[in-house]
Parts: sequence; structure tokens; C-alpha cells
Amino acid sequence: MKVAIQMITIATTVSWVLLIVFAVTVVYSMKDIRINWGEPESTVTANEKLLLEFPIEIVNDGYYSLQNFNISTQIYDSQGSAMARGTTFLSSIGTGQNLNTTHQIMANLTDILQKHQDLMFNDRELQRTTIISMKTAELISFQTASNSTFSWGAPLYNLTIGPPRFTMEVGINNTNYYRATLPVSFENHALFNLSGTAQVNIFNYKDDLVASEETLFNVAKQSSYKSEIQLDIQTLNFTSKGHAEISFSGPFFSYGPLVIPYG
Amino acid sequence: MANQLKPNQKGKQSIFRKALKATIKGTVLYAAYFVLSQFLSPLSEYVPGFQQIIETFVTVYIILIIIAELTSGSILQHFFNAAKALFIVAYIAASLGTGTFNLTMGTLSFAVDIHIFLIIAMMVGLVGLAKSVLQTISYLNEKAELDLGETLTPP
Repeated sequence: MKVAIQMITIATTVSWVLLIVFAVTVVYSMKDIRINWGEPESTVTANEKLLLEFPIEIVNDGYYSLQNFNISTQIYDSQGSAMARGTTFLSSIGTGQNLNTTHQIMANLTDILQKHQDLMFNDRELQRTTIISMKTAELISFQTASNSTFSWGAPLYNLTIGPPRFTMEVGINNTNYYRATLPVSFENHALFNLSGTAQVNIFNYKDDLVASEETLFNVAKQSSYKSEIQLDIQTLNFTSKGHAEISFSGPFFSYGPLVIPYG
Repeated sequence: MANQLKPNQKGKQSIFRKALKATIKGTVLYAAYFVLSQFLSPLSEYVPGFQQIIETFVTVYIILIIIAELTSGSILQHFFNAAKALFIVAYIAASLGTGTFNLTMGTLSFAVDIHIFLIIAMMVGLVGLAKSVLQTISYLNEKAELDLGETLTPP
């Protein structure tokens, strides 16, 4: 019996030493895992979704390899419902490995801009939650969750539509007509280029449509747009009072009509 | 007179040996804890109460080791060895709960799931308890054999 007890003593002692050394080295290893985030790049996919790509560098200088490395990001709107999400999964990262990958977050622009029309005109700091989970040495699972903000840039920031100006013009056959000029300006603060059409309709005081014009616009991201939309109105139909209606539409948004009274 | 002092001297020597052994064991264990705590100190900064959990465990464990060593050669030694093994299992279960640690620092929160590690540690602890039981049985067995030998020996 004494031999058996001695063997158990040796086995338990060795087991405890191994367990303690393992626990200490795992804790010590965690400080040698680094995740470096790069600047995001944005693109609009063919199916009108906004794709944000974050370059990530994962450095594992710890003693143990990492398994089931998962990065999950969600961006929430002001009501707290998820409007964009992305997941990156790496099955294994060995010790001493330096891995570069891309974390993609996909957002349905059509849904976002239809549900949240304020995001078309106002820049917002949206809530972003990033969850990083991993398993080290096949035994211990770690998870970190961080809350940060994501800067949303409005595609039609500071949209300004001036009141229509009317000038009397002389036509080819010496016939007079009115020319309406509608100044339109905005800044595209969005992460994507904005293209679409601006449809302007002018109605006289009887609500008869007297002029209509459609203008194409193509505004690069982080740039401003300034234009004057001109419409010709026959003198007979023109009244000194009335209103103009302007609507914007693009591949992933439509807005309007905005009513601008005149006279 | 000299014969009367001999058992007393032997007893003193035995107690001195036991005390020395207990002191060495306690010191070695504390030294090991001191070295390991240097590695664990980064964790103590972030996990509130972690240092206290470890310190309490090490203190009680060293006390049990010293008592078990001082009572060696008696049934009490095995009693304290079993208590030590039970204490390990119970302390791991009580201090680590479900095996998941949660910690929040500002906008950052951490969760560590060590339940598999915990199960392994508790199993090793249970093996230690089984060893203590076996040691107790072995001790009682030897004692019974000695008593039986004394009874059967003709005066």
C-alpha cells in the first residue's frame, strides 16, 4: 500500500505543479497578445451595401496558441437596434505568429437611410460594440467586450434649398417666359460617393404643375455639392404665388418631396 | 536517572525535527507563492479581491501543512491531511463559483471561462483526498498489526 500511496503522492504533486505553472503562464501570456486596428476603408457593393473593412494585425507572442479567435462588431442606431454587423473568425493562431487580416462590417444602406432619415442630414456618433473571444491552450476561454462610437457622416449634410428666384427671359420667337432658379447645396460627409437625381416641380397657386426638371448629381465622399437648378415656365401658367417641390433619389435612398413656397 | 531522561530527550528531538520540517515546508511553500505572485501581480491590478483569494488560500494551506507536520506519526496527521485536501477542493469550488470571471473597466469588459481548468484542479484535489484516506487506512492497519503483535507476544 505504501508504494501505491507514494505513487499517488508523486502524481498529485506533479499535477499540481503543472497546473500552477500552466495557470501562471496563461495569465502571463495574455499580456503578449496584441490586436492592432488600422484605419477603415469603405466601399459600396453591387447590392447596395456599405462594406467597412478594418485591417487588423494580431500578434501572439504568448506561450500558447489561440483557437477560435473571433471578432464580432455591431453598430447600433439611436434606438439601440443593430444596423450593421460583422464577424471575423480565425480557427487558430500559433505562438509567435503575426497575422494580418481584415474585419468586415456590412451595413444595408437602403434599410438604414429608409428607417433613419435623420442619418441622411445629420452626422451622428453611433454606438459600436466589439466583442473579441478566443480560447487559449484549448482550455481557457477569454472574451472582451468594448463599447466605442462610430462616426456616421450624413450624405446630405447641411442640405440647403434656397427660395426660387424668377427672372423674365426672352425666347427665340421673342416670346417671354419665366426662368426659375433654385439653389441647392449640401456636403457629403458619408463614407461613400453619392449619386442620384434631384427632381424639382413648380406648382402655381392653383396647384397646377407649371415646370419640372430632373438633375443628376454625383458627389464624391467628403466633398460638397453646390448647384442651381433652372426651370422654364410659360408666362401664361406663371403665378406670383405657388410652391416648388424637390425630391432626391438614388440607388439606396429616396427623400422628399420638400415643399418650398414662394411669393 | 539517565535511562529516565532518554525518552524525554527522544521526544524533544522528535518535536524539534517535526518543527524544523514544518518550518522548511512552510518556508518553501511561501517562497514558491512569493515567486508566483510576481507573475500574477498584473492580474491582481485588474481583478479586485484576487490577491486576497490567493493570500487566504496560501495562509490556510501553510497552517494545515504545519499542523499536519507537527502531528505526524499520529492519527491527527491524517485527519489534517484529509482536511487539507478537502480544503483545496472546497476553496476552489467556493472562490471560483461557476468558473467564469467577469470584470468591467470603463467601456471595456472581460470574461474568462476557466471551468475546464477548474474541473481538472478539483479532480487532482479529489485524488489528494483519496490519498489521505488511503494513508489513514494504511496507518490504522499498521497500528492494528502492532497492537495485535503486542497482544500475541507472551509476557
